[in-house]
Amino acid sequence: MRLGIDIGGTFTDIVLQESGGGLRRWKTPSTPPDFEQGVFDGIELVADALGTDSRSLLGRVDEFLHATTVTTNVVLTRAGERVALLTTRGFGDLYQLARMYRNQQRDPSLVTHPVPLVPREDVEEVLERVDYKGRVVVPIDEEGLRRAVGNALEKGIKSFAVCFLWSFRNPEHEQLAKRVILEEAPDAYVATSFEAAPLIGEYERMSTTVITAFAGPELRAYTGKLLSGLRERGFEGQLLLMKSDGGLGSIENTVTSAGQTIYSGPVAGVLASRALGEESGEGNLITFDMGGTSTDVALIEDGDVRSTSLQFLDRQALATTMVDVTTVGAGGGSLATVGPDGAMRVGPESAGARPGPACYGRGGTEPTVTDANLLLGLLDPEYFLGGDMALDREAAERAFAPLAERLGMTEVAAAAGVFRIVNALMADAVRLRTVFAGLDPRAFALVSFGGAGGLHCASVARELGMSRVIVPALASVFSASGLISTDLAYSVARSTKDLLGPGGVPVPDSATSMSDLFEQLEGQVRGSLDVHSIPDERTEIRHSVEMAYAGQSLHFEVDLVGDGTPGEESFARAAAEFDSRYAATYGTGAAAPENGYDVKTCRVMGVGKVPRPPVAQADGEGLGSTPLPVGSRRALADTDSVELTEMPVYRATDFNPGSRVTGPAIVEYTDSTILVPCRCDASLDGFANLQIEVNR
Amino acid sequence: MTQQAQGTAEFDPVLSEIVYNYELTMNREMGRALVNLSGSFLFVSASDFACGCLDAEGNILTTISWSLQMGYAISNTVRHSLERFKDDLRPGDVIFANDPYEGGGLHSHDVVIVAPVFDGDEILMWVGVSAHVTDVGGAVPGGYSVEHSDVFGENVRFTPVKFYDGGKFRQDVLDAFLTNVRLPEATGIDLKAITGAVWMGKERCSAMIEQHGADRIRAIHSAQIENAATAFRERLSQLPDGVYRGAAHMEHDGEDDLIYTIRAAVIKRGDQLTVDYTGTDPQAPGVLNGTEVGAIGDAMAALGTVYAPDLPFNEGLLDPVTVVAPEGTLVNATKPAPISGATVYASWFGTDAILEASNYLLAGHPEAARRRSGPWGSWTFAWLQGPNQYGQPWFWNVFTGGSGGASAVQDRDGENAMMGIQTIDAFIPNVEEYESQSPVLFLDTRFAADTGGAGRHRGGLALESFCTPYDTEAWDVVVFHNRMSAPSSAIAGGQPGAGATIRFARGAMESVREHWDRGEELPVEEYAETAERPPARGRGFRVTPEDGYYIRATGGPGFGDPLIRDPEAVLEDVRRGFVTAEAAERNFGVVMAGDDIDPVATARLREERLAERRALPLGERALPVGDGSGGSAEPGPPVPQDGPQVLGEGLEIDERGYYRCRSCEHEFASNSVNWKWWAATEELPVSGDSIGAPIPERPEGDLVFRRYCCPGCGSQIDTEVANAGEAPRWNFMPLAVHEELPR
Repeated sequence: MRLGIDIGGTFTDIVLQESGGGLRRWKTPSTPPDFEQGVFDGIELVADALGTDSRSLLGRVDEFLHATTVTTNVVLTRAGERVALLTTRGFGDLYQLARMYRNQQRDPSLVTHPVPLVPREDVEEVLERVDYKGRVVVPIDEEGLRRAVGNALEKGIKSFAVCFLWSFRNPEHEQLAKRVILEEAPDAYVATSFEAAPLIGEYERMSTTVITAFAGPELRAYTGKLLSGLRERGFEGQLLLMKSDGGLGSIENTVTSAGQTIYSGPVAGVLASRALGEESGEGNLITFDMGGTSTDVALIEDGDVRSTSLQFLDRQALATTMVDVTTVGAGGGSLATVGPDGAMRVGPESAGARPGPACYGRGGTEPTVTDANLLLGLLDPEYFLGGDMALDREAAERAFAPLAERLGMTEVAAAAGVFRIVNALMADAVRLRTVFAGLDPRAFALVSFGGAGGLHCASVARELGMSRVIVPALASVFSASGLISTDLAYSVARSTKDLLGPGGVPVPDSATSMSDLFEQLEGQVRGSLDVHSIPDERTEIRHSVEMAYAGQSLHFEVDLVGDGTPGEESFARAAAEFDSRYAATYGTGAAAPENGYDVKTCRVMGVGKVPRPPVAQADGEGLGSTPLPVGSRRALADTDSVELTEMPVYRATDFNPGSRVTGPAIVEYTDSTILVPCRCDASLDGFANLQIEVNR
Repeated sequence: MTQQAQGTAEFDPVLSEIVYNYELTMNREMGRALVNLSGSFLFVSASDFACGCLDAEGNILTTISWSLQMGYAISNTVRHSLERFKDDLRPGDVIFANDPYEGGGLHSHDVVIVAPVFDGDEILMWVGVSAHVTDVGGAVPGGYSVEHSDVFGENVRFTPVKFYDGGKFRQDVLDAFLTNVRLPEATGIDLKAITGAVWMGKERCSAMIEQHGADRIRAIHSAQIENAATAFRERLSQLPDGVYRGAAHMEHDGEDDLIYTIRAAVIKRGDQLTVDYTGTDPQAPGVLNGTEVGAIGDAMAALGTVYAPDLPFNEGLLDPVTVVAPEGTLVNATKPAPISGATVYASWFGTDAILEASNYLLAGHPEAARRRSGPWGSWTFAWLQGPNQYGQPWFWNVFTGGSGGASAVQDRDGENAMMGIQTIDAFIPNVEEYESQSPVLFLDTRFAADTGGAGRHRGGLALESFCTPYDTEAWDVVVFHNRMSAPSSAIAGGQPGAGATIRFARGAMESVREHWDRGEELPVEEYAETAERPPARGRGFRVTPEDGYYIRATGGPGFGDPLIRDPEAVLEDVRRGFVTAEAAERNFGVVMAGDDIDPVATARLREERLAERRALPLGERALPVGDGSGGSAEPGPPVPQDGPQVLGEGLEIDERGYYRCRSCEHEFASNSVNWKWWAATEELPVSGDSIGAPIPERPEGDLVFRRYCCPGCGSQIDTEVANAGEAPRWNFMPLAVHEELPR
C-alpha cells in the first residue's frame, strides 16, 4: 500500500492507494512550523475514515511518499542553518559577487546583488587549485584546511558548503575537505559541490551547494522527526521524498542533496499531470497551478517531463537536474494598481495569505484578483470553499472603488480589466516558457489545478491558441495523487567538454572520456538504487547528454538509447534526434550539423519503476446525463466581455461521465470554481476529469 | 496622474498594459532566441545585446538591453531606414546596419537588425535587435582603434542595407560583410542568430495585431508614448527650475595623454528639460568619440534611471526633452572621427556628465533626491589575443575591468562591482567559463579594498583580478583603460572612487609558486604595486605564462561628507576588509585601536579635520577665474526664486535667495552668483592622496580635485573634478541668471 502526503502552506493533502488500486483522498490543515504534526493528524483522519486505527493503518503501508516545502520555506524565509562556505583561496568574494546578477531595477537606490545565504565573514578560503582539465595546479593545503574548518567550528557553525574551482573535473580536494570536516566534527552537515551540482560554472555550483548546506540540516531534522513519529505509530516501510528531478528518493539520499527537494511539491503536480496525460492519451501538456501568490507552469512533451539544470529561487541560483517549473509572481492575491503611466497593473505585489484579498475579510483593503473575480460574479460569496468561508462582496467593492475612480471606469469594468490582464500575464509566462524550450503552445493541452486556476485556465488557453483544458478529478489533492504514480529515481549529471563529429561519431578522446564518465555516473546511481532492492526487471538505467551544434549554446537534452554504456550507435541516433528537434524549432535551414556537436553534460538516471495502479475508468457511454444547474448568476462570460451576462451555475457533483455543458457556464467544486467561457464546451470524461474544449 | 491621456477615447488602460507586457515578453523571447542560436561568449555569458519594439516612426516602445543606450540606439536604424528606403519598404524586409554615422548603433561592433511589421501595405511597427559582434574587421582584433586613426581605418561599416528583401535572404549582402571579418564562421552564426530573433519578434507582432486589430495597437502605442510623456512632464514640473551643470573626463586619445571633457547643462524650465552638451571638447583624433545617437542615448539612460525609473522606458520620456549636441564634438562627432569605442567612451561618459548636473536638480525634490547617483563603473579592458589552449585563434577580454563599484546613494552605500547604472541586463562570466575557452588561469578575484569613494555613504568596491596566460605561449595585449587617472565625480560632498588599472607583473609567477609552496597568501597588492603600468591606451604588449596580469575596475563614488559617516559603519568596513585602517583614518577620520574604534581619538581627529577645513582659504582666493564660466567673485543681490531649494546634503538656497550651509546656516552668497567662491576651498592635483582612493597622479598635472567646505562648520559640502586652471563649475543657477549671461 502506498500513502502519499503533500504538505502545502495551508493544507496537507493525503492520497491512499489501496491494494485494489483505487485512490482515496483527504485534506487536513497544515500545522506550520511543525509540519510533521499535520502529517500525523492526516493519518488519524485516514484511519478514522477507514474505520481502523493509525497503527494498523501504518503497519500496512509499504511506502510512505512525501512531498514537502520544508527546503523551499527555509530558503524563502532565510531560516536555514548558519553555513560556512569553503572555497578556493583568492575567490572568496565570488559568492557575494554572484556574477553581478542584478535585479533589473533601473532605480539606482534599489539595485542589488542577490542577497547571499552566507555572509562574507563565514566564507573561508583554502589554498588549492585545479585547472580546467582537472589537473592539480596547487595541492590542497591540508593544514590550512583544518584551520579554516576550525575557525568555522569555533564560531559554532555546524554546516559546511565546499566549492572549489573545477571540482567537478577532479573532486579530490573536495573529498579531502569533506573527510577533514567530518574528522573534526563528526556531526557536521557537509555539502560538496561535486556532489550537489557537478556542473561547470562556479557561481551556480557554489550557490547550489550553499542552498544544500543551508536547508539540509532542517530537512534532516524534519525527516528525522517525521520518520521516528511514523515508526512510533507502527510504520515499518520506506519513507520516500519527492525530489525536484521527478523521482522519489530515500531520506538519506535527499537529505544529503537537499537542494534537490526545492520543487518537491510543484513537481509532484507535474508528475500527476503526466500520469493524467497517460490515462487520457495526451502526451503534450502544459501544467498550470495557480495559487494565492504565484503560479507554477511546466511542460510535458510527448509524455516526457521537461527538465532543466538551472533555476532561481528568490534569486538564488540552483543548478541541479530538476523538472523545469517556472513560477510567475501572480495569483489570486495579486494586487491591482494604476501605474504612473496611467495603465492598470496587476502584481507583482501580493496581499499574500495575510491579510489576503479584501473579500476574505481579514483586514485586506487593496483590490486583488480574487476580489475582481467576486465582483465579476465568478465566485459565489456563499459557496466559497463549499460554503466554509463567506466572502465579503462589499469589502471587495470598497477595495475597487478608488482604482475604478482613478481609471474613470465602473468597478465591474475595472475588475474585468484585472481579469483580462492577469490572464494575459499568465499567457505571456506560458509563451515565454514554451519559446525558451523551442515549442509551440498550440500543440499542447493545459492541465489546471491549484485553487485559483479554474476561473482563468480556459481564457489563458484561448489567449495562447490552445484548444483543450483538463481540470483533473483530483484537482484539489492533485500533487499528492502524483506521488502515487511516481517512480524511484536518482539522477546524476556532470559537465564535460566532449566532441562528436558530423553524424554523431565521438572523436576518439571523447569516446573514451565519455564512456569512463558514464560508467562512473552509472555506478553512482546504482549505488543509490541498491538501498531499495528493486528487482532487475523494474530497474532502468537511462543515459542522456546535453548537446549543441559545435560552437553554439543552444543545447537540448537527448536520450542515448540502447543497452549498457552508450556506444557509437547511440550517439548517431542522438545526433539525428538532435537535428530533428533543432529543425522543428528553428527551421531546417538553421541547422549546422556539418561542424559536429559539443557534448556539454552527461547524465545518468536510474529508475526503480513502481507498478502503476490500474485506474478505474467509468464507461462513458450512456451515462452522460445533462446536469441541471443549481441556479444562475450574472457573471463575466469571457476575457473580452465588457458586461456581465446571466449564466447557469452547476455543481461538479451533479456531473457524471459524459455530462456536457456549453459555455458560458460556471461549474463549482467544493474547493474551486471553473469558468467555462463563451465558445467553450465542458464535459466530464471517464476518469472524472473535466475536459474543456476551447474554440476560437 | 495622466488625466489628459486617460480622457482620450483611444486610451485603454487594460489593453495597454496587456500589450506592454506582451511586447516586453517578446523582447525577452527574442533575447533567448539570440542566445540559443549563437555561441558567442558576449551574448551567452555577458548578455551584450538589446531587443526592442518600436512604433511606425521608430519611437522606442519597449526594450530589454545590456545598456539603455544600446536599447535606445535601435531607433536610429529604424529612422534611417525609413528615410532611406521610404516607399521601398515591403513586408518581409529585414534591414541590417552597423554604421554609427548612418543608421547604425552606438559603435560599429553593434550590429543592428530591424524589421518592419506591416498592416496591409502600411507599416504598423518595428522590431529590432542590436548586438555586440565579437569582430567586425579593421586593423586591430577586437576592433577598437588604439592610435590616432579615422573611421575608415577602424572597421567595416554598413549603412542600412536589406538583409532580406521582401522575404528573400540576401546571401550577397552577408558575404560582403563577412569577407571583412576575422572570424567569418562565428560572425556568420551571430548574424543568423540576430536575424532569427528578429523574425521571431515579427511573428509575435503579427499574432498580436491579428488578435487585437491594427487600429487598436496603433492607438495603444501612441497612447503609451503620450502617457509616459505626460507623466514625465508632470514629474518635471515638480522639480525646481534652473540650469544645472556637470562634466565627465576621459583620458588619452591613443597617442597623447590629454584630458577630454564632456560637459552637460541640464536646463529645467516648467515641464521641459534641455540637455545641452555645449562646451564639450572637440572630437578626438582617437577612439573616444561617439555619434549623435549616443548623445541622445546618454540622455535617455539618465532619464530612465535617476529621473523616471518607474515609467516605461519609451520614447515618451524624450518628448519634453531637447538634446543639444554640437556637431564636431566628442558626443556628436563628424566623419572622419573614429568611433569604434563609443559605447564605453562618449556614449557612456555623456551620461556621467548628465548625472552630475542632475544631482543638483533632483536634490530639490525629496522623492527624486533618493535616486541621486554619481557615475558607476566604466569599462577598462584589454583585448588579449593569441591561440587558445585548443590551438584556435582567439581573442577575448577579462570583464573584471567593467565590474566597477556602484555609486553610493542618499540612503545606502554603493553596491560592490555592478558595472554601469545603465547596464540593466548585464552580467559577467564565471571564472570556469573563461578558463574552459581561453588560455588563462585566474589566481585571485576579489573586491578591492579602499576602492570605494569616501562619503557619508561609501561608494561600491571595484572588482580586481590577477591571472596569467595558461596553456599558451603568450598573449598579445591591446590596452583600453577608462578612468585610469581621471576619476568620476561624486555626490554632495562625497569623494570619487579608485581609478581603474591594468598592470603586467613581469615574472611574478615565480613568486606566486613560492607563495603556494609556502602556503602563503598571494601578495596581489604588492605585485600590482611593482608591476609594469601600461599607458591608458596602447598595444604591442606581450604577457607570458611567467607574468601576472592584473586588472581592476573603478570604484563607485561616495555620497555626502565622509567625516559624518557613522563610525560603526566604518568599523564594519574595516572588519570586512572593504576599508583599511589607514584609509579609515585618512578618509573618515576614524581611528582604529586594534580591532575596535578609538572613540576619543576619533572624535578628536574629526574635530581637527573640521578645524582644518574651516581654515581653508575661500574660493575667491584659491580658485582660478579661467574662462569666466564660473561667474565673477563679486557678490550680487539675489534673483527671485520660487522658494527655498535644496541643492545637496549640506547646501540649500533659503527663502531669501541665499546659499547657505544646511548644518550651521552659514550664508555663502546670493543665488545670482556661484557660491563656490565663498566656500573654504582646497584644490589639489588628482592623486590617491587628494581623492582618498588609489589613482595615479597625472604627470601632466592637468586635472584637479576640489573640495568645497563650509567656513562656518567645516562640513564638506561639495567636491569636483576639473581641468587645471578651469573656473569652479557653476552647478546651479536660476533661469533668470542664466538668461542675463552673455552668450
